[in-house]
Formats: sequence, structure tokens, C-alpha cells
Amino acid sequence: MRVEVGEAMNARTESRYVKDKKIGEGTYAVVYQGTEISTQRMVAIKKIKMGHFKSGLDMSAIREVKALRELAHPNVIELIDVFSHKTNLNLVLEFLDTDLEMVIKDTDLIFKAADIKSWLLMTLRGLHHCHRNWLLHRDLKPNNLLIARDGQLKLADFGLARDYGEMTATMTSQVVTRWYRAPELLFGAKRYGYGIDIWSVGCIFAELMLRTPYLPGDTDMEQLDTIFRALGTPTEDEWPHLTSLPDYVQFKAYPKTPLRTLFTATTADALDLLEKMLVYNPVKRTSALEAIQHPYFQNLPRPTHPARLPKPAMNINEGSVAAKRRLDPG
Amino acid sequence: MATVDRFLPAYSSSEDACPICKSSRYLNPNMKLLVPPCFHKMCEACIDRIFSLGPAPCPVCQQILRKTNFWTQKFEDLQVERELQIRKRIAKFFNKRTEDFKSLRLYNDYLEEVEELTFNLINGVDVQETEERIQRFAQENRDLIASNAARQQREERMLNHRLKQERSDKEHQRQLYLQQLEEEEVVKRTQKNAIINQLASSNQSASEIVARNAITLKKSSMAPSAARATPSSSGPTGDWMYNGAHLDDDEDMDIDSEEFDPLSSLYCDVGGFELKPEYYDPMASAIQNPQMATAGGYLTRFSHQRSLEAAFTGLLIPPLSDSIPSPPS
Repeated sequence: MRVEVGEAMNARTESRYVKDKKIGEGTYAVVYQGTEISTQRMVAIKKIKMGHFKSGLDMSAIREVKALRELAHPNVIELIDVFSHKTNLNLVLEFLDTDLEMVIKDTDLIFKAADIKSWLLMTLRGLHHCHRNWLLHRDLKPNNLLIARDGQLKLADFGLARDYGEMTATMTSQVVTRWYRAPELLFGAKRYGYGIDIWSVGCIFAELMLRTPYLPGDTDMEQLDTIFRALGTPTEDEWPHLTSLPDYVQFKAYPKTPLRTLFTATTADALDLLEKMLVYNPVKRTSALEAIQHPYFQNLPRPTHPARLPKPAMNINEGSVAAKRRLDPG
Repeated sequence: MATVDRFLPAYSSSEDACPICKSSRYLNPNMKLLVPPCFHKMCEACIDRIFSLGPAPCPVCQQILRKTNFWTQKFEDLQVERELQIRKRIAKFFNKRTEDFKSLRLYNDYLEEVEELTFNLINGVDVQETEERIQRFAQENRDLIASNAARQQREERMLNHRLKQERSDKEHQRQLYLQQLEEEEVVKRTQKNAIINQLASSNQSASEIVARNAITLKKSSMAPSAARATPSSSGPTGDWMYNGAHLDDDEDMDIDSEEFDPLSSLYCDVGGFELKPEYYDPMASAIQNPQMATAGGYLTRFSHQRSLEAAFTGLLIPPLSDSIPSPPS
């Protein structure tokens, strides 16, 4: 009897949406563009593939639903509904046009200081909302920062997100796309905090200014080497107990070079904030809240209004490119 | 060590890397690669390291080099670089001009000969004989070469002087322009203040005053500036990555976003407790390696704060007055 009630509810949810067309496919999901029938609102329907998971549901689908059910914020993607169809799980998500990676790569667009400030502020707002609800995103990178038609930037792809702070739980260090992965994760830390997300935001901030990935490493070892070459090799003094991390390896001692040598045209307040986000000791690294309160956001120029931010020129039908890349396994 | 050429900037590419110390342009944008006579280039730091104590062998080909013999690379192709060096040397001796010859024909023959010598040196044809011919020419024409060199120097000085003049003229113009902008700014501010005063004292309708003044404001200045966004900060701070940002007229934000609070949220802050720096917590022993946890960025504070927040969530929030449910009957 119970089962039938559940099935009826599910059927009712499912009947509220129509799938229009497939716009992208990744390893674990297919994304369709769809419409909510009652409001004609455009939605994205993410159909989780069940085939190759031997027991039960895919972990990242569970993580995504769990995380998004908790969060409601203008800078976090909205999970509108969940329903199942036969053996497939379907997530109904807010439909978003493009992502920050597309914006960065579009060489026709010119970024002003105020534009970068605006994107960074929206990212930090969304992230602060996650952190104050004890949730780590664990996969921040430009192509997981989606951009709505009205210019609002929204954190998306919570497939790796999980809660943090629990005393008993250890977590995996195999998270976050390599170029945006914090050094403590590369050294195999099993307990960590919000610092790992801040590191990613720091890398994204640098990428917005450079228009090219800031710390691109080909392997995990090379990633550490790239980080140390750019920011100097950390010492026990600036990062206490560094050597006790599980995968710690001694690296060549590179000198610390001031960020100014690479970011030649940036204002001092921007560099100060970047430096605070890329502090080696995760305990000393700035938090999302502190970052939002940093003078960089109060000083001129003011952040650009989201509606006036530069956007790649494209028509509605070309949304599929963004959707497709968004699904790449992180 | 290396001469700076105003007209031809040093060659530099993002793929540059010093073959000796492997430092790359990506991480050291200021790296300078210099070329020695044997054309095995290396970065300035390496040169300082190897040659600061006097002549030393090139790390690649062992040819003895001196620090003073390095020059900045101008061309991507080192062959071109080598040709340039040879031509420079030749030009030092063969500096005759058209007016030193009786006819154009003779001058052309002379140029032809110079070109032949240069070609021989570049391609390594009869190097010995060519060198001798150069020496002979230099001996025979010593006086003429010296006087021509002096003339050349004089001309160069003149050119330098002219360029300097042009630069200072430009700077002067820029100063004038900036001054003009500043003056416009002052005028605009006084006009704005006048409107405010008028609004405060006059009993005409506000919209009328604003509309009338808007016309005069528009007329008085066509170039908006960034400084008006907030009166508290002085001067244009907008110049960042993008020159002329202060000439952009969508710089100022909407009025309502001035009061925009980036920390606003639909969620209530959980309060009512005070987080102590330390608690008696038997669970903390579950962390077997506390040093490792600290190094990873984990703080026991997270756990305590989270537990307290969980306990206090919704506890001290008064219900909305119009939604108090009626007691069950």
C-alpha cells in the first residue's frame, strides 16, 4: 500500500515536466533541457545513469541531492524536484546558460576590474552559504560556476560535496580537480576544513586575472611542484606539522616570489586578498566570510551589476556546449 | 652588460626557458635570456653565477666567455642574430657614404664588395682571406673611418635629442588633459551641491528642479569620471588591467546596490550560545593524530561549533505573529 502511494506521488512529480531535448552527456548522467508545464519555466533535467553501478544509487547523485536540499541561495543552483523514471533517477535543476570557463575562454570579451570583483563576490557569497551550513563543495572550478541569463553566478555540481566538522569522520583527499586542489589534499590530508574550497577560489581569482589557468600541473606530484615554484616551498614555520601529513614528500626549496611579478597590473588590495586565499597553512587561510569583508570589495571600482557583466554571445540553442562540458567527470 | 635598443625590443616568448637552470618565462616573467658569442643562450642569473669571477667556459660548448660579451636576443632565430652581429662588425669599418665617392657607380661597387665580405663571413667561405681583406681596408682608410664614425655619433645625438623633446611634449599634453578633467569634476560637484541646496531651501517641486538642472549638467561635461561613485574615496582607482576604465560611463552602480548586503541570506543566524575555546571532549581522542589534523586544516572547534549550532537551531526564534497555530481541540 505504502509503495503505491509513493509511486503515485512520483508519477505526479514526473508529469509536471516535459523533456525537450538532450543537451549533454557525461560519464554518470545525461542532461536534458525541459519545461515545467504549469509555469513554462525552462529547467535542466539530469538523468542519472544507473547501468554501471552495481549496488544501489550512485554516490555523487546522493551527495548532490543531499547538499542541494539543504541550500537555498541566489548563488547556489536550485534543485527544483527529484523523481524516478523506471530505474533512473532524475534531478530537475534550474536551467543556466553558460559557465565561467566559457566566459574566461571567450577572447572577444574584455574583463574590467569591476567585473572580476563581481564574479568573485558572487562565488564567495555562494560558498559562504555552503560553509555556514557545514558543507564543503570540494570541486570548485570555473566550469562548475554556472551563469544565469540575468548574470547571477551560481555554484553547481555538488557531486563531491559533503558535510564537514564531524569529529569522528575522516574524508578522502582525492577530491577537487587537480589544478584547483589545495596543497593539504595533495599531501593526503584526511581531515580538513573550509580551506580547500578557499584555495580553489584563489586559483579561480588568479585565472580571472590571467585568463589562463594559474597552476596547471600534469600529475599530482607536478601539481605540488607547480604550486611551490609559483609561491615558494612551504616551511614548518609557516605551516606547522606539515611534515606529519600522510603523503608528505620533501620538495626542492623554491624561493618565495612576490605575486606582483606575475600579476603586474593588479591593485594592491586585490593581491592582498589573493595572497590570503593562497596561504599554505589551511588554519591561517582566510574564510569565505573574511574574504567577503575584505577591503577589496569595499574599494572602488564597485563590483559590476550582474546584469551588466560580459557574456559570451550565443543563442539559446547553443546551450548544449556548456551543459556537455559541465558533465565532465571532476 | 647588454645594450638596450629603443627601436627593436628584446625577443621574448612565453616558451622561453633557460637551458642551464630550467627556469621558465611562465613563473619568472622578468627572466632575461642573453646570448654569448657561441650562441648558447642562458639567463641573467646563470651568467652572474658562472662568469662573475672572470672568464669561464660555456657550460654547453666549453668556449671561454666573458660576462661583457653577452647581448640581448633580438630575433627568434639565432642564425639571424649571428648575421646581425657580423653585419654590425662590418659596418664599424665599412662606414663610407655616398658623398665619399666620385660617382654612384663606384659607391655601388663598394656596397657590392661589402656585401660579398659579409656573405663570406656568414656562410664561412674563405674566412681567413676575408678577414685579411677587412684588416687591409681598415688600415688603408683609418682616417676616413674615424671621421665618419664621429659624424654618425653626432647625428645619433641629434636624433636622441629630438625624441626626448617629443616625449616631453606628449607628457605635457597629458598633464593638461588631466588638469582639464579635474576642473570639470570640480564644476560638476559644485553644481550637484547647488541642486541639493536648492532642493533643501526652495519650495518648488523636487522633480522640476532636478529636471532643469539635469540639462545644464549634461551640457557642462561630456566625460563622466569614476570619482563620483563614492565621495569618500579620492581620485580614480579604476585603472586596473584596463586603461581608460575611468572613461567608461557604466562604472557607477545602481543606487539600490549601494545598500546591497553580500551577507544577507534567507537563513537565520544561529545564536544564543557562546563558543568556548576549549571543551572537555572525550570524542576528541577519536582523532588519532591531532597534529596531522591541524596540518590538514581541521579544527576541533568545527565539531563543537557545529554541535552547538545543531542544538540551538530555531531555539530562540520567536514565531511569526500571524502564524501561531491554534491549540488542538
